[in-house]
Amino acid sequence: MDNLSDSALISRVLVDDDRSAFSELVRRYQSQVRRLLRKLTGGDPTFADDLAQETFLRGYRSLKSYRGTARFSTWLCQIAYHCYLTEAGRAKTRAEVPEEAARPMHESAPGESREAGTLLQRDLARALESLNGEEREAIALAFGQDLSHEEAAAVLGCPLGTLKSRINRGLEKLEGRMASWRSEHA
Amino acid sequence: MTDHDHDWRRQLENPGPIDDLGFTGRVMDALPPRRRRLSQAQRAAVLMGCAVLAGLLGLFAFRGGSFVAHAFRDLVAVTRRA
Repeated sequence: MDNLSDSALISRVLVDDDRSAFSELVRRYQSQVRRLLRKLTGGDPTFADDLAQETFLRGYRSLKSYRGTARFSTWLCQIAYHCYLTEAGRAKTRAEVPEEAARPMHESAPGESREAGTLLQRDLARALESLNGEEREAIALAFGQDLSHEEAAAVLGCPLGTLKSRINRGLEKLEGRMASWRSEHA
Repeated sequence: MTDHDHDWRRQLENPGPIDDLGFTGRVMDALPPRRRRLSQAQRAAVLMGCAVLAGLLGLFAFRGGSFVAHAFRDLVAVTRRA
């Protein structure tokens, strides 16, 4: 299964309901989808994993509608983003979080995420959480997701220029926040 | 830019993979039950059954197919007259 392309695996799922082929697709993309949802949910691994599971279930149910015009990973990220919007509640999550309300990253589940727990990661998760929803979504999709800016804009359903300005605003805020925390730690 | 600035940008751009730790298994367990697929022999049997049923219904609805015999006799009669 490892050497089969995404499209070959998808065909197997659609034609024969091949569960091992779908399992391979989940294995391939679980990290990307879970990472995106962790960033969107402000670093809550349990909630993010619930949404990630829902993402793959929705993906399985609507696999027939995948036309292959975008990469499979982009299609999954789009489903993940919609899951997040549906489950987390757009109004709540898009509200600006005041700086003082930024809370520490949730504790990781036992044995989860070997890189979790470092100070830098916690700071970054808190800084991301303190951005407004649009900026956080733009940065979550555009960095560390193996998506081009065009693909990220397509997932968010906004023009490329809008995405870029959200990224710039978000990065500026992150930079300021990280710098102020660095001086606190020093 | 300081090392710290580079570090958080690097962390943002390359956060590293998340270990599966049973996630794929949980997704597979939550999938809906497998579609029941008929074998080729079963599909042929169902097809034959439908054909026989349709034939019987036809015979019953058109009185044993006597209209076919009548139509044939009428056709022969017309041909002879001509």
